[in-house]
Amino acid sequence: MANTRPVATPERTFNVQGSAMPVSRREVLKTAGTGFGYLALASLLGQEAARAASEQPKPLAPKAPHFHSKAKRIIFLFMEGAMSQVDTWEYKPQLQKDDGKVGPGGGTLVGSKFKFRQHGKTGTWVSELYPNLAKHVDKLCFLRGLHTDTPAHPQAVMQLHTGTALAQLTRPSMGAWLLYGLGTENQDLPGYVTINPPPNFGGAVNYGTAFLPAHFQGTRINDTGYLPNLKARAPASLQRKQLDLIQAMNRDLAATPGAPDQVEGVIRSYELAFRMQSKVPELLDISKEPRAVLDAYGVTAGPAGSFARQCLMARRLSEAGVRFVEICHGGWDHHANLHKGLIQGCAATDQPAAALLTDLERRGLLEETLVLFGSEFGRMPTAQGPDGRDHNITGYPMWLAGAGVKKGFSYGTTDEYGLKAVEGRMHTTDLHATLLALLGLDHERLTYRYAGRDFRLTDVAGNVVQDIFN
Amino acid sequence: MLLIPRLMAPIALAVAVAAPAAGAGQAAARADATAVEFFEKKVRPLLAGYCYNCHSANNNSQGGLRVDDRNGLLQGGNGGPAVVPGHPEKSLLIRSVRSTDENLKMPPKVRLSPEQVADLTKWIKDGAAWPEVRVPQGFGKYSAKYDKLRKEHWAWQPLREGKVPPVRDASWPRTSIDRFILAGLEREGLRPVSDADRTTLIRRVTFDLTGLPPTPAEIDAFLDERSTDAYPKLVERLLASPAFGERWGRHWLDVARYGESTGSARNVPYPQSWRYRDCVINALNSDKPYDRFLIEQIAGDLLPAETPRQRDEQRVATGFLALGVKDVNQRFKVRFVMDNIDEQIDTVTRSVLALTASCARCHNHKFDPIPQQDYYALAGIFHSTDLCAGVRNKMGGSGLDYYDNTMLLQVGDAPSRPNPEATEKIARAKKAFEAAKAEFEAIRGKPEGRALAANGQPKQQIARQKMVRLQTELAALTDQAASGRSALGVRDARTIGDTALRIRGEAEKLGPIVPRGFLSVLSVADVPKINPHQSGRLELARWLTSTQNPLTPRVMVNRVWHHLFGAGLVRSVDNFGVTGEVPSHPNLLDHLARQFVRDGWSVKKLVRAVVLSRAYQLGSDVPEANTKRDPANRLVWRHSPRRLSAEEIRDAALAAAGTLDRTRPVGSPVKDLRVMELADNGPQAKKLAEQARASRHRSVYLPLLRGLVPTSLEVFDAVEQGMATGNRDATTVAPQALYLLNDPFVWQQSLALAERLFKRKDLDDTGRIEAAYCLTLGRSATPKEVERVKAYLAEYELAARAEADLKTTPWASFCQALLGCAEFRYLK
Repeated sequence: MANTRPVATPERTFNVQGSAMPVSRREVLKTAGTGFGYLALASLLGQEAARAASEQPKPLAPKAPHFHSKAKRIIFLFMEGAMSQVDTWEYKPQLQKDDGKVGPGGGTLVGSKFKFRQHGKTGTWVSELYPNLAKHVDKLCFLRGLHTDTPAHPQAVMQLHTGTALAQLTRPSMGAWLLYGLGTENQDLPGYVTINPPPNFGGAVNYGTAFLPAHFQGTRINDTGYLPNLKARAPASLQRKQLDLIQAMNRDLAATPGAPDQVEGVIRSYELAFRMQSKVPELLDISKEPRAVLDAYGVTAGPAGSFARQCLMARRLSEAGVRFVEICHGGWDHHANLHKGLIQGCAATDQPAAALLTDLERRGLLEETLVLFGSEFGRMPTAQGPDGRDHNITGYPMWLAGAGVKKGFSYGTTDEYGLKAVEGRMHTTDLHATLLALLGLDHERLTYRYAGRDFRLTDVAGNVVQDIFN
Repeated sequence: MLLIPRLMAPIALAVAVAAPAAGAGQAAARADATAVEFFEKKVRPLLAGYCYNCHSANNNSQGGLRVDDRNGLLQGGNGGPAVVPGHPEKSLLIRSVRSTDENLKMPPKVRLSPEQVADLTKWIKDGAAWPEVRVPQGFGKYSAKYDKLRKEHWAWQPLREGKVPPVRDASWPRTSIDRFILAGLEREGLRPVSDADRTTLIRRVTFDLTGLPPTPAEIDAFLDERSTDAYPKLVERLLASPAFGERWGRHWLDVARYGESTGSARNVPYPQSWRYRDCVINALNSDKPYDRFLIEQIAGDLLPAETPRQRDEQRVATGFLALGVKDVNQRFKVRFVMDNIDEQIDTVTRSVLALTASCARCHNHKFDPIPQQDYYALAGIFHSTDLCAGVRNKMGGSGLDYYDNTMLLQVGDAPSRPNPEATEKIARAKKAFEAAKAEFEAIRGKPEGRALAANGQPKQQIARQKMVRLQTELAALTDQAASGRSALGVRDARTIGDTALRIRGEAEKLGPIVPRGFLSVLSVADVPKINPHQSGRLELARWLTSTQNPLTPRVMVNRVWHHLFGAGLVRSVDNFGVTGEVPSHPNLLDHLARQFVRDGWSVKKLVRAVVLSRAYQLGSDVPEANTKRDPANRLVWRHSPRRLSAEEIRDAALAAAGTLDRTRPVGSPVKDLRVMELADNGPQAKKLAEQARASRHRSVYLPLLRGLVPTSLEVFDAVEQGMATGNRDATTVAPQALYLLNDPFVWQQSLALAERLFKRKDLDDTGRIEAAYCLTLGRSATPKEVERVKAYLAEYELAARAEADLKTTPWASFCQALLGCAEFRYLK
């Protein structure tokens, strides 16, 4: 464990969170005789004073990363339900050739019904389902050897978001860890926003803080930009008056001797809330974007335009300094209806995601923003029923683009059928370790002490894949 | 190979003597290298080639079966054991590969050759050999540090005399607690601050004991009463109030990780959780001795009962072990079982002992002397226990798949005579369901089932939906749970016995059998041996509550101190282990623990003793000398202010507005839910949120499905429902401000409070302002404050007219400001 602390020996006197404590000889003598003697109070109290002084008054203030990094923010395009990789990003000629034969793990191999073509200077193969994203292949960085533990959506979605699928202890989400480690750049906005997250598969756990303090909680908004209690109940001028009265009362309290320390925090929270009421709806109101931008993303009202709206909101939030934005498109669980389902899903995501990349690049944001695209796992190269594929956790891809990663690069491969990762294998914890590293955080040092031990997003595992860093 | 150190001797013996079926098979298999070779050459390739795709840990587990693990085959899936070593004819695996029945035959599309079937048969006949589980090097060993820690770490030593220390200023202390506190201060050259004023005191003690604010009448009466026993009388009134149990029961519900659903990846409601909630509140109100309370929590079902009512009460108390987080979507029964046992071990050890024993599931505890064997000694107890939470595991289930009403406890009287109308209704529903089921089965997996209906869905999917709907309707009519006569809890399992240690904590990787027992970290000698015909929960409960166990009273006394002073004598209230903190006043802690036991484990007596101390009644001033020396107030030279809990904030708003309903609601809105997955944005979630918002009952009675905690609680750091938690956060974040400014609930209470002020015809504006301050902040307004509010009201009215805002009256807006100001939610 990174943070080793002295064990309880008679010499040990007091135990203070996260800091090794120097114990003087005199104090040792004072307590050693009994092993349970009266505390070495001088030391105890000194430590408390140091802790009180170092306590972060603003838990969300930007913090220095562990090491220099290009990426300041992250946008995660989550394809919930498990997209079929051999029909989209994984070109497997042998699979096409062996269509109809028995696969290595049993089942009937079935080639993709979609045509693949090489794109860009890198000549990367992409299927015809993603014509717009295909134009960006030279800036994508593929992770093709991912694997995870559980071939069931609920656990896999939770593992992707929190590092574990174990039910016994809910862990903080990836975004909460990032916020805990880095704070956020814009104090007028939540630092972690998730748009349209899946309502099940762990639900709020996937953007929760678990045992981390509530400051690091993800803020859920829906795909029309709705956030509860954000709309001011009273007209702004009246609410300001009311707020002034509240703040006057709060300042009176803060001025009383012995007032709770948190009153200053209460005063700040009200000012932030007041600003959020105007800033956040303004930010999420995409209707003011120029027509050309709306068209580029393919924004429309109603369910069809959901992902386009999410992409555009993501760009605006990220641009405004939100540390972690996640958006979500579901419906990829094609046990049946694979053909039509893929055509629909890809059509719904291709243009908006491509427009997001273009837009970020044009605004110079891609240099400091990391984009992640993919599912909780992949699908089998074999058939399930007449028009479906089953879950596959043994090898599947995701891609990254933007700050800190190589362009037009591919890390890892699966076997000739796209069934198992054979080279450059990356477990979910490796993905997490690598993402944190791209944001400047050492996954082994990003710890939080809870219930008697230090917790990490990557638990006791995780390797950073340096090969993809540019 | 297995290393057997001295401490493991009894376990080694158990392996030799008491080998269960799996263990015996394993031992036999180990001996025969040629059998293993046969398996590797002939059998494993078959399993991997034809079965892994649908039946292995890394791919899928159709029917709950996995074939990549020997225990997986022995335990089998939904159809029963797939392999019975030595008996191919009894093995489902062989029947499946031989079968021609569409629904049974395996693999589904290929027929194994006669040679292949013969290989499988021979393998099973010869004992189903499997390569042995590799036991890691150094397994079972632990360092000498364990013995040293057992002897030396403060928390595990016997309770000390805790003699009341001498003090220099004998005039200050009122009780023995005060002498301990003052002695600590004097040692550091510090003085306590002056006592709190009486207005502060009544507000503090009323919230601390009942979670509610004092009413203006109660404040007036207390301020007017000049007799010296005014305060003790006040304390007696509060201890006797039913609100005491609602407040202190909630504290226990926090450490019992109370929730009304499974949480986790598939969130399924527990419609009977509320019984446990009520049972805890009743126990606190009747001051059930804490040792008795714990025995009932862990083994209430095994205790004799004089009346059916007592029997029910004791059964419901075991809900403690049942209402944790569960992953009902877990594929493998054995993992589901072991995960739930882990959850139970964690809850019991953390809540009662402040130990993190579940760390020893996979390896010896890294810090505390809890070897992995100890963990599995406890696991055997829970393995011999049926966890009755009304749910079962099933991967990819839908509808009522997760519901198992055989796994529930019966409470209440048998139903009165069935009425013929209901019987007929049930018969009709049953017939309809059976017809739909037949319809579904007829086309399931067949071409006509896969064909698309007019709406584009496969026909079998439509048939399935219809079947599930009718099944649900039938269940609603026949289900004992729906009739309200069931509870969550535990009972002894049919099979009682020790369980095997699991290597690296992997449920399938069986190590040696560990005899059931308790944690060796404590030496408690006066506990009877585990009854071989029972689970051992009763003995576990006796071990926990033995007078030789110092941890149980220490931990409880510390929890009570934590709730009354805002921080425990040991700050890490849920961790008394090596990585926890050490007590600021160890002698006081032991003194209180001894007194607690001597007073018959009475929580009320303990609370009374603490709140009657002068230390509890201190003011909250901050002299510079003290803050410099002891900024965190660990020595208790003042009373540290605390923020109200989420429940208190909501209850206080209702109380101020005069809308609080002090009665206990019957059950919970959750009791009407079906045991089906609940999406957090579906119509049911929405309905629950509305019910929660409309409720005027105390917050402890709000529905508490995991992940769907009502907004009014969620914004103010509602308790973490994932695990035993004795200490809540008190963050200050913007969503709290947004809630107080904009949430309809807060506005409704503000309007109600304004109306309440205007109902008092005797008051003028000044009087109304005074009354509003008293109702919300428990004190009178200063003249300066009255003037400020008057100016605000006038200004607001003008501005509101300009804005044509007729919805908000200036008075309600002022009332809302009171509910929103920091003073409302901080207690001095």
